[in-house]
Amino acid sequence: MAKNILGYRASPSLGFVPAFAFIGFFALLPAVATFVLSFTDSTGSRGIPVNFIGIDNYLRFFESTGSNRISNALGNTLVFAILTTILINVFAFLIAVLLNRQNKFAVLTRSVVFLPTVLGVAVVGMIWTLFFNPLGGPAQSFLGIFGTQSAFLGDQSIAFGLVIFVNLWMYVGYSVIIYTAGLQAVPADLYEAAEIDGANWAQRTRLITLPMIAPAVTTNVLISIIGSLQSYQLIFVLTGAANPATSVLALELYRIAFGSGGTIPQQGLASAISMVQFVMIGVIAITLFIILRRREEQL
Amino acid sequence: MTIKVKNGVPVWVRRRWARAAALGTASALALSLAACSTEGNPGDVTINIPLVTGSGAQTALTQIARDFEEENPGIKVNVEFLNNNGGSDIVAARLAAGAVDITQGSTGYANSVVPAEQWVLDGGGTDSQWIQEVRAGQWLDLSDEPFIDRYDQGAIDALRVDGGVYVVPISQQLSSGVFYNVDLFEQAGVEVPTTYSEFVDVVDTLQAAGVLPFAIGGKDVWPASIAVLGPMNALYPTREAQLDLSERLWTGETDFDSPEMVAVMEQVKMIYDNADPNFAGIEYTTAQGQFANGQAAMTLDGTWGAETYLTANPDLNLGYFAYPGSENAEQNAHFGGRLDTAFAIPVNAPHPNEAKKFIEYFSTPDVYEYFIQVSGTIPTQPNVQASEILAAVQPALANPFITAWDWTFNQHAEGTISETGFNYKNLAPMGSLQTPEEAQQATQEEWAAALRLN
Repeated sequence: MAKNILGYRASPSLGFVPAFAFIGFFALLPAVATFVLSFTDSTGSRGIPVNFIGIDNYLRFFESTGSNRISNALGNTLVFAILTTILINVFAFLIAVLLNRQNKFAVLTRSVVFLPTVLGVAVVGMIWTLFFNPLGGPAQSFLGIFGTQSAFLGDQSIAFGLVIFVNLWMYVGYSVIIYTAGLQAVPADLYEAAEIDGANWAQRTRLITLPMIAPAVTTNVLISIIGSLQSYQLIFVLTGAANPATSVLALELYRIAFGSGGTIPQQGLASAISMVQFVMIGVIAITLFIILRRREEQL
Repeated sequence: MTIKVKNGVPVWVRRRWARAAALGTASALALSLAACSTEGNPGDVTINIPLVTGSGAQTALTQIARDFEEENPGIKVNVEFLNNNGGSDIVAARLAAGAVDITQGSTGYANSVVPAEQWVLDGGGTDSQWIQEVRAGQWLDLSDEPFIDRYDQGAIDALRVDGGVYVVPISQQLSSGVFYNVDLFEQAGVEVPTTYSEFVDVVDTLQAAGVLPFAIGGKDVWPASIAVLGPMNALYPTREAQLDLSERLWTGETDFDSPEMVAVMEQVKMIYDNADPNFAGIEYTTAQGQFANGQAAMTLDGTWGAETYLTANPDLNLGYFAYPGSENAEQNAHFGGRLDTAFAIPVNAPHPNEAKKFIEYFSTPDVYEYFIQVSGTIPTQPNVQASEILAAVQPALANPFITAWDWTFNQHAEGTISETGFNYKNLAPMGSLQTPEEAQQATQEEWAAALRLN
């Protein structure tokens, strides 16, 4: 029997207790509280009586899908998630393959690519807001060479694209690290054998690299999808919460929960929306997970 | 004392109970250290004052806080200045945590400081969060405090809720006028317009002379809403006229896409068309810089901006005129404004007595006059000299001003596009709707949908 520091057989289970307590208190309890709140008309103000109103909030959510706001936000969220996931994974994979060498330059470049993730949302938002400043910012000056100009983040038609681009810039490094780890686990003799057999770079990538890093692909795709379906921080910093062109579900939730302009905060309704969002993300994530796992096993 | 050791490990480590005791003590210590706060003097009381306010008021209040601390050793004052975008959310969270001693009271939108009119409640609207909280007893009634008498009783009475005084108004602002660059006007050879046709002529002349007429910070969205206030102030020149329109909108007698509403949006469109073509991407502070540096001839901003412009460019020759929204010069010649900053004490304030002491100190004539001078705001105490900063605005203060439209139109229907009833957010280039008619139609549709949901 293995010895452990306290000598009790139950010690490993005991060791879990602090971690469970922490997660239970800070994650599980608020989640249950949100679920309960979603059946009330709480406004988040102290002292104002809170009433149970059953599933009214959910009905309201699905009804107001008819109006522009929620359906617009849902649509934007899905487009954002799909585009972000595809783009980040493709770029991260290509960068990881390119930098999969052992020389100092590659190591340095990998760190540089990872740097934006470390900067944090506020700094990244500031950098790109300044970059896209329509009054003489670098992007405007660049366009000026070609004789055109743009409002960038204020232009309804391209604001969303710009936001996706900045999101890609910020998080590609994270995926690169995961892909690099996956790539370095591929045995080098497989590549040597393939070279001897006459495979070129594209064939090697398709037939050896991709199958061998399937777990890394699963991880990255899942993280990207789950993250981008609920991501709003960067969008908030770049374009604010009130811009319909870049409105995503999490941002609408934030606006409704804390009020904006003339509307009273409605935390009951926001809790209901967050429950719906939770179910939506859960379904998408589990479906993807099953599909990707099956692909992994096949390979 | 020596510690017995066996095989390189102290003997006591091998005893189960000793290990458990050691682990328990270590974790208890760690937790208690983490819970320890790093407060300095145990006797010090700190009062927290989070505010959203202009840069002049920030300078003034920081100095006043320091002076108060000197006169009152043992009380520390932590005045915190938050951004207009999202500041109220932070204050709301702190209020829920009981960490606020003084703040601005109304944490929601501007017009929520008085109870909703009956037609609003009949139409499905509600009292603002502020009013609901006051009625639920969440804010202290300050009617009996000595410092209340120092303030203009008209202002105090206008803000009473059910007879009680819950806010101490400390400054006011005008929001319906137009700041202009006197030098640029002279160079282009234009004079201050008094009617709308003259206004349009001035704008055209400035364009022809290569001068950008307006600076607007569209990226932050709310600066564009000020373009609504000037026309409304001129076209509905009395409080009664504005309340009448509000009632007609709420009862459904007047639609949001009716000709009178669209007429106001036409003027907003004129302003949008004559601002920087990319103003929807320009932030408020950048736009302020544009005007201060003479890159634009006019800007629609509240008088809170005066201090910023003069600090950014001390050589700026600043002027202020009433927005001429109608063809009647006399009708145009007045201003609309609102309460700017007010103090309120929540019922769960940790140190209400010290908070009241601070407000008492703030309200004394010398300190208050200093605040008004440095902040460049309009005073709410009688017999206080307004600031040099407001020299350009002084003529406007000769007569009383009415409440601006955004403080008259009480709107709390969930999900509507625009707080002021005007769809300034979606009119091009701020949004994708090209004409004022389309913009107001969208507001009408969403208003109708929101009322259906209610």
